[in-house]
Amino acid sequence: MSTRRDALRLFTITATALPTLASPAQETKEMGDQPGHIHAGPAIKVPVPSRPTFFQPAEFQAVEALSERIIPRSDTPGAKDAGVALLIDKAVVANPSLALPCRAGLADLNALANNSYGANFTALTEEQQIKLLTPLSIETDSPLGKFFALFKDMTVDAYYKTEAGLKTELGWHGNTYLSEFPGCDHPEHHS
Amino acid sequence: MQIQTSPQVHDVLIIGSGAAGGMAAWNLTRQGVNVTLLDAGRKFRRSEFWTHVKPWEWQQRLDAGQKPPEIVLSTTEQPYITPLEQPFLLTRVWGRGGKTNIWGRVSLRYSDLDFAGPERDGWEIPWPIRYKDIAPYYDQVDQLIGVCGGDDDQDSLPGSRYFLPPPPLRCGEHIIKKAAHSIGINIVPIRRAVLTRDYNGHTKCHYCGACGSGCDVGAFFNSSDYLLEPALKTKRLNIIDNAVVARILVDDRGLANGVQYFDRYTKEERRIFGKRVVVAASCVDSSRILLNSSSPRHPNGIGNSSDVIGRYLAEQIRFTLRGFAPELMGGKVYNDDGIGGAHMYMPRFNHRDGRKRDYLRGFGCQFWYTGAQTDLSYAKSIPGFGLEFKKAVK
Repeated sequence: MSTRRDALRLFTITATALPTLASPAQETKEMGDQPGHIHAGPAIKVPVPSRPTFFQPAEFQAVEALSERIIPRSDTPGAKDAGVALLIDKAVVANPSLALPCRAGLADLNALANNSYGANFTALTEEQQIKLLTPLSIETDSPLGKFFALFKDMTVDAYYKTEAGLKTELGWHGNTYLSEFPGCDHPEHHS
Repeated sequence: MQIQTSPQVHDVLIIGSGAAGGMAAWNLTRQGVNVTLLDAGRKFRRSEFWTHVKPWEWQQRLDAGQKPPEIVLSTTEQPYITPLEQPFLLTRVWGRGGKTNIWGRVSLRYSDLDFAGPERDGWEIPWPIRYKDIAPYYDQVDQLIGVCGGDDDQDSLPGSRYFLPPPPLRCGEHIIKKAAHSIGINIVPIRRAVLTRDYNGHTKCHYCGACGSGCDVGAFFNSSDYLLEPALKTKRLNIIDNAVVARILVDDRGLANGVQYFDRYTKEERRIFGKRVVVAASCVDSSRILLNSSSPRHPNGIGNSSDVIGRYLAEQIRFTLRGFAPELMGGKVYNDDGIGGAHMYMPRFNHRDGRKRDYLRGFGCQFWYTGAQTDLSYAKSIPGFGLEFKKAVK
């Protein structure tokens, strides 16, 4: 049985006679040169802002640490690699109703960390942080549980919109120009 | 303030440039009629669309002070309110082509099952026409704008001899289709006004899936490229940009003879006269204009002796279900963009098995967002955090 890749490669050669074969990253050739195509120019490169505007430095470190616990680095980037903390800062600036819950939540989290381990959240080991957060991720009715749920949502929103989250982690490679849409070629999926 | 009035009397004035206004302009100009069309915005430039801006580039561009073209009318510019507990999602596009710039492109024909419904169950006013009366027009529209679809012809969803080839199905769609067939429910290629091959001088789809940001090559029907541009070529069409129509003017006999409008930006009031006025400004804006057009002859607004204009407004009635295909979990990630949204359709089936339902009539199903998507909101409902969570999301 030929593989999907083989079938596509064959298709690419026979149907479009490209000078070069499909690049490994793409399923079929990109077609930026088709008549009538006027595509907007390449994305501008903007220096990523390096400083938060809402969170204080200590709070920001906590945001980084907490988001990294929710989506940690594995063989793919984690929240910190993806710059999630800055995106969360931006989200709070854009939606001021998040400011108080975030600020109070981080303070409560530190209070809990101090009660349990005698140190702020960021000073705890990974294992301690996980131990502290596990009940919060289950008891969603407590104030801290609610904060955790809110913060997790914000982390998800931020991380999976980044190139690291969407492309590197999930492998999404859409929104490109294809000459043909191949569709599914798994016979087992077909009726 | 001085009202600017031109003494010229135009043959036909059309209010609105969307599907209906564009079609009226296209038809009239090719039959030799001079048309003046009033549009509440201006032409959108394809080269300015953010069609190919990746999700992570949006924020970067916004940070750099760039803005995507404002296709959907901002509620800051034109706010609206609804009664308490009666939300209404009003999507307005003030600009050439109107909502056809960003529409869902689903182009299903009504069947006799639909036309005969009111008579059969006694609800609503019966239709005065049947499928055979409207079929020739469906054929004309299919040929003009290009609609992809299959070769099937269902009792609840008529086919067409003029469909362009359907796009192949994604993995998830095949799985749903197989499941539906196993319980005797038919699934057919959806009919959508997306070009799966070059057609009538328009460029075919390049499967980027970002149609909602406006198509940068015009590969799906939009009134601006498909109707107004050809109409402009006849030299019989004149378009007035940024003309927000307030009301229809009438003569002593109560017949429409002109339009009062305001410049969207300078707010100058203007009047323009015509022998015929076509109101094609979308459901809600057309209602607004007709209700605004009260006069001694039309105390309740034009065409509103029934008092139903502006009442009983309904959004598209739809219910959303989410499903999950375990077969696809952990597999290779494909580019599932396709023509942006559903490639297949489940036509109404509940009339076929003879079973009596406790509701009237029936429904069809579209299947959107199958396969790899950029919307990860489902991840929020996955419990836990950390490596396990990250793995589960993937």
